[in-house]
Amino acid sequence: MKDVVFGQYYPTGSGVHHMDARAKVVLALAYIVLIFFVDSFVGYFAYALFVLSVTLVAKVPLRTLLRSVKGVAVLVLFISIINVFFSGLGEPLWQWWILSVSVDSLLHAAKMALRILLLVLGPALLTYTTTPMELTDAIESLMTPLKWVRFPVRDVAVIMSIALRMIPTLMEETDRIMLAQKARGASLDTGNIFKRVKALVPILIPLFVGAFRRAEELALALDARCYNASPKRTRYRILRFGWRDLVGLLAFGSLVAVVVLGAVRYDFDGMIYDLVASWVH
Amino acid sequence: MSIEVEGLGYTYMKKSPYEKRALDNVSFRVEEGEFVAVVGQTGSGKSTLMQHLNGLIKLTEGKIKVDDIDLTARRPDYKRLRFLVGMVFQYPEYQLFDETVAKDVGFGCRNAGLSAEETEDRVRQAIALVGLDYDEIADRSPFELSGGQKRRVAIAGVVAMRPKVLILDEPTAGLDPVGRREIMEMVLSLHRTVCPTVLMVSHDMEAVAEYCDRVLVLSHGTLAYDATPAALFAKGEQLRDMGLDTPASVQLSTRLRQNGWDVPLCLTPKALAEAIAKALEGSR
Amino acid sequence: MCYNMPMQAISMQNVSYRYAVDDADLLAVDRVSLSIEEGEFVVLLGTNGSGKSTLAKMMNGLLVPQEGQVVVYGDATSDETDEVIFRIRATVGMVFQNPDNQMVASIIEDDVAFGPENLGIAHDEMVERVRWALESVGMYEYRSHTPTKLSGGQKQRVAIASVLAMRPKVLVLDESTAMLDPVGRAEVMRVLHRLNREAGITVVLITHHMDECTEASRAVVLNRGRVAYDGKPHDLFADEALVASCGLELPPVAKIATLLGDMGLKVDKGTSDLDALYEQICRLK
Repeated sequence: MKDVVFGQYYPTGSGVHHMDARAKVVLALAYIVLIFFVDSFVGYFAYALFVLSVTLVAKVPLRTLLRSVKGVAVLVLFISIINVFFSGLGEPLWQWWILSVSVDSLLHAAKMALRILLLVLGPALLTYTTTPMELTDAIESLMTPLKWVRFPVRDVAVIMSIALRMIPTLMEETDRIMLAQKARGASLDTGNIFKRVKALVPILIPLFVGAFRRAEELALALDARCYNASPKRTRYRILRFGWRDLVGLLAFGSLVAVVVLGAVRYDFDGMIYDLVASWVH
Repeated sequence: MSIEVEGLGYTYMKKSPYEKRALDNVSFRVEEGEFVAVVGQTGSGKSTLMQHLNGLIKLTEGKIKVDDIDLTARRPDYKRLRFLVGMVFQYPEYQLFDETVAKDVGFGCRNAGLSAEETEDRVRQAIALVGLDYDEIADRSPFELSGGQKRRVAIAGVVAMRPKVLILDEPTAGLDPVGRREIMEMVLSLHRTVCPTVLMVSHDMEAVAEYCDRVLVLSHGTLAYDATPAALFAKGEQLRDMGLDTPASVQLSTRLRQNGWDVPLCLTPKALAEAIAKALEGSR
Repeated sequence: MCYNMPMQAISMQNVSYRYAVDDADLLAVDRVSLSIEEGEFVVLLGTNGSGKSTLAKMMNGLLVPQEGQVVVYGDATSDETDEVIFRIRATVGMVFQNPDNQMVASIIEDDVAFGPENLGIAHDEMVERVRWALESVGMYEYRSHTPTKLSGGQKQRVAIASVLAMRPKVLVLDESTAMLDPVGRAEVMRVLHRLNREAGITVVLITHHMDECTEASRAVVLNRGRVAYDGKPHDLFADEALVASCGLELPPVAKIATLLGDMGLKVDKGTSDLDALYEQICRLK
């Protein structure tokens, strides 16, 4: 249980893991933004190929990566159904009341499903190849310009760092408290919703009391280690942009090229339309 | 009333990069009335073993039978098991949550569905058994008590469930010497009165030597020794390899014996001092 | 100028500290005067509630006494200028009880770097300090690990390194061994004695384990906020009545020596070393 938080990180020491976290964060953001402009199967195909090749280079097992999709499976199914029956696109093949199915609606639903899946897979790859610590550093570094508007970038970074540090500890503690109350006959997973909510009290109160106790000692420890001593706080970790990041950027650049040009040059969607249409008729 | 463990094994986070074998082929039997110490380095599998005994960890490998409850059965009666085997975790005071001491101590009884009168009876008795004054403490908030009192209240919460077996995970951790001695005396009196069988995880070999009848030594998930304190501590060197201390009295008496002194292997300072005095008298 | 005179690291003159708890006053430290010389290894003993943690927190200005004065290398902790406060805190490094509650980063070297970062140390020197600090506690090979998976003793050694990276002259350990198992305690004690011996760092160890003062140069016992004993550990071990009256207990070897001594045998009651006691017993025959 205590490994869940860091469990997302899948250490393989690959080139993707060694990339500058800032580059990865920026690429992931670009990846997310770009996907909303993709509206062709060529584009989705290119996206899928990109995810697949990054996964291979990162040496993350495909199965592990696909596990991250589990959480959105229901959503994907729901959106697909809505799109198949309610889109009202194209010539209906089948119609009942307000529901209709057409080749266009089928294809549209497939695109929506692909979009959501790819939307999840990209950031998942980021978390599989980047430690939370590196992510914090990257975000802090990317937020640096905000210092100009007096935004406390440094404090926010320390808060994020402490939060990350404390999550596994607090999870361990939650686990221990749950076991201890179970040992006193508490049942946490039976009864109706009210009973279950009430059963949380013996867990949450000790957890909060414990968190306050920890916070007190942590505050002392921060003071003892001269937090806020110097206005010119220095940094231990220096992020460096290297050749790997260049490779990553170029790979992503090719994706953009394929997405933009592919949609224009090839009438891939038309071919698929014909294929599906001939199949359903 | 006995505990039988046979071929017990356990692996954490099976089939993941973090897989860890915690217990391997552990077998032993504890009879009613025994005061057993469970020792071993941190990470040797002590907690995993203890949590199996009252069903907090589901049995996956091997057999466990506590009294007439067979944990290999398809649906073992975990609820009854948890009242038969009381478990006091390390730093138990960190689990206190209720508004008053009496309510907190009665938590287990209420979970068992006992009547209000029965619960109050048991709470009264449990608070007395851990050496606190019911009238003085019952209506106070557990959070305003001293560290030592909190720990007693937490132990009372388990004692009130009237378990036949009491499992304690390092009950004296973090206490000062007076607190340690008081808690050990309390555990001993519980052992003699209401909870005949006691299993205690401990790192304090002096306490193990002084209070326990039998010691189980875990090392890397296996049961390395199952012996009386005297027989166990006679193995000094091998214990050190497992990261365990030997009580000073045992070390000294062993060396004196090797040097031809007529003293038995002594477990406590008092026993050793008396043995030395006797040996000196004899030689004069 | 007298060269033999030891330099005074921390001097406390007549300090008192009281907490206000629910209207009632709790006098935690009651007119204590104590001075700690550079290079000493002082063990400050006392039961829970004896005031030892309060006294410790006054040594680097985390608490400022309501009466009396604490002076750290010439700086009074009551001084309110930032410069002095941070100079005191960097000079007197403080390690706390629970290692989990004093680590701020998820990677060990980042945690160790936190102090130097706050002090604005230049990058090259910081890297050197982090390396030195982790090597001093024998944790350098773990620098890129996360602290979650370490043992208690290892975590506490990292906590010590994190303070060492500020290059303090004094280390104050506020019950830093209380939550450790015997192996972890032994690891921490070894590290502390080495730092004291080899790096010349003054150590003030607050504990209720009496056996931790066997190798110390000085033992101070606090009882109900007052100093009950201040002297050589040996003489403290020889006085069982005093030890008991302060709620402490003799370590096993000293207990055996005391029992033998009480029987009228010729044994030095203050003996706390097993080999030494063995020799003495052999001479009895």
